[in-house]
Amino acid sequence: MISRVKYLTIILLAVQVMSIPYLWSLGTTDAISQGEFAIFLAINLLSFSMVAYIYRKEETGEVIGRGWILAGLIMLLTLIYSSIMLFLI
Amino acid sequence: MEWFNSRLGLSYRFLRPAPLYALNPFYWLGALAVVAFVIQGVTGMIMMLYYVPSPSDAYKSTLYIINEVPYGRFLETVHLYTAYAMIMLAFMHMMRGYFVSVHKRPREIMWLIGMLMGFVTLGFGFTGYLLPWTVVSKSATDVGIGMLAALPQPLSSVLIFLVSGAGGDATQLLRFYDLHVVVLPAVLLVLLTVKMYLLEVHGISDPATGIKEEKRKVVPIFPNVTIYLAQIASIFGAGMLLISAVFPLQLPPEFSPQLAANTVAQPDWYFLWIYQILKFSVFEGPGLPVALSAVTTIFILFFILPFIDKGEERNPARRPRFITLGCIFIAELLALTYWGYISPGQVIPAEQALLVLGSIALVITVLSFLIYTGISKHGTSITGYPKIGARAGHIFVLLTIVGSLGIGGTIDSIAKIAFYSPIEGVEALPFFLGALTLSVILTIRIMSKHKIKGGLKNDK
Repeated sequence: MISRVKYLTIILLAVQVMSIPYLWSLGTTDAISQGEFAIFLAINLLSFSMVAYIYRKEETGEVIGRGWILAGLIMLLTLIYSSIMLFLI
Repeated sequence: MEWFNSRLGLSYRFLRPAPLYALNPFYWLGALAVVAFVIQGVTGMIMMLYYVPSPSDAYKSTLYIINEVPYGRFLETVHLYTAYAMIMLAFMHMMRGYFVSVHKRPREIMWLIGMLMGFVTLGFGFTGYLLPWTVVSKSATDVGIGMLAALPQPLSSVLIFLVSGAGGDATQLLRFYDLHVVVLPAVLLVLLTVKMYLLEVHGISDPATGIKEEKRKVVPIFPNVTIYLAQIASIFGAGMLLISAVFPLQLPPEFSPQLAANTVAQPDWYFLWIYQILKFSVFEGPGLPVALSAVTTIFILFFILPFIDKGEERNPARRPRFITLGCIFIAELLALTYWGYISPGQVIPAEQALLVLGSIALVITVLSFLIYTGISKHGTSITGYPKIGARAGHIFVLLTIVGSLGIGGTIDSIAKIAFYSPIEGVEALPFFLGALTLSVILTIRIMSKHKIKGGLKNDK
C-alpha cells in the first residue's frame, strides 16, 4: 500500500511540475487563456491537497480513504480534459 | 518537514495542540475566511498598482486591469469571488457558532470580537463595491449612504462625513478607497490577533453533542493541523479558481448621472435582505428609521447574544427555542435575499410581506415542533449514530435533500401566489408541501427506528 501511495504522490507532483512550462506558454491577456490558467492552478491546488491528505494519513497511521483519492483523481482528469478542450478551442 | 522544523522551530509548543475531533472542515470555516482575506490581500495589492481612485479614472483603470494587465481579469475575478466567499464563510462560521453555542462561558469576548470582524467584513463589501465606479455600484452606494441620513442626529452627520465627506464624488470615492485598503484591513488584523490570542487561551470548543474518548486525543499544530489546514485551504482555493474560470467578471457600464437615472439601484447579494425589508410599503418615507432600527436591532441582538443566551446547555437537541429562532432567521434571510433579487425597485405591500415572512416562520416552527417531538420520544446518545446502517444514512441524506427542496419550493409557491400567477403557485404548492411532509414523517420514522434523540443521552 505504501509503495502505491508513494507512486501516486509522485504522479501528482509530476502533474504540478509539468504544468509550469504549460502555464508559462499561455497568453496573459485574453479571457480563454486566463480561464485555462485558473483551471490549471486549480489542478495544482487539488493535487497538492491530495498529496497533503496522503502525507497526513500516512504520518498518523490512519486509513487512506480510497473513495476520496478516486474522487480527487476523477476530478483532476476531468479538469485536465476541460483544459485541453479549452486549449483546442 | 524536519528541515523546516529544525530551522524554524515550528514544533515548539507555543501554540496549543488541537483535539483530533477538530480536524473537520466545520471547525475551520473562520480559518478559511482568513484564507480568503489573504487571497484578497494579495490580489488587491497587485490591482492597487494600476487602480486610480478618482471618478474620472476609476472605471477606466478597472477596465485597463481587466483588458491590458497580464492576468488582470483573473485577478479581478478571483478578488471578487473570494470576497463573496469570505462573507459567506464568515456568516456560516457565525451561524455554526450560534447553533453549537460557542458564545457561552468562557468565550463571550471571542464572540464579540468575531461579530466585530463580521461587521468589518461587510464593510469590505460595502466599500469595495463602489470602487469600479459602475452605474450599478455607484447607484447602490448612494442609496446606502442616503439611508444613513435617516439615522438620528448627530450620528447621521458624523457617519455621512466619515464615509462620504463633503467634497462630492471625488471625496466619496477616495474615502471608500482608503477605508477599503487601509482602515478596514488594519482593524481586521488587530481583531484577528485578539481573537487568535483568545483562541489560545480558551482552546477549541468541545462538540456540543458530546464526544467519544478516543477523539479527545490531541495533535500538534505542526505538522498535523498545519497540513490539514493546507489541505482544506487548497481545496477552497481550487474551488474559487474554478468558479473564476467558469464565470469571469463582466463589468457593468460606467456611472453617469444620465445612465443612473434609468438604472434601478440594487445592492450586492449580501445586502439584498436589508434592501428588501426597506422596500416594504410600511417602511416607505417616514417609516424608514423604523426599518433601519429593526435591522440594527437584529445586528445588536446577535452581538449581545452571549448575554441573552446565558444557560449552560449547549446541546442543540435541548435548545429548541434558540435553534428554531436560528432556523427561522436563516430561512427568512434566504427568502428576503431571493425576493430582493427578483423584484428590484418594487415596493412590496405590507400584507404580502406579512404573508411570506409569516408563512416561513410558521412552516419552520411547525417543522421544528415535529422534529423536537420526535427527538424527545426516543432518546439515545450521540454515540448511537454509527449504529445507523449505511442504507439508512443514505435515505436520511436523500430525505434531507427532498425536505430542503420542499421548503424552497413551498416558499417559492407562496411567493408566486402572492405576487405573480396564483394558478401556477397553487398547482405547485401541494406538490412541495407533500414532499416536505413526507420527508419530515420519514425522517422522524428513521430517527425513531434507530432511537436517535439528536444527541440526548438515553437514560433508559
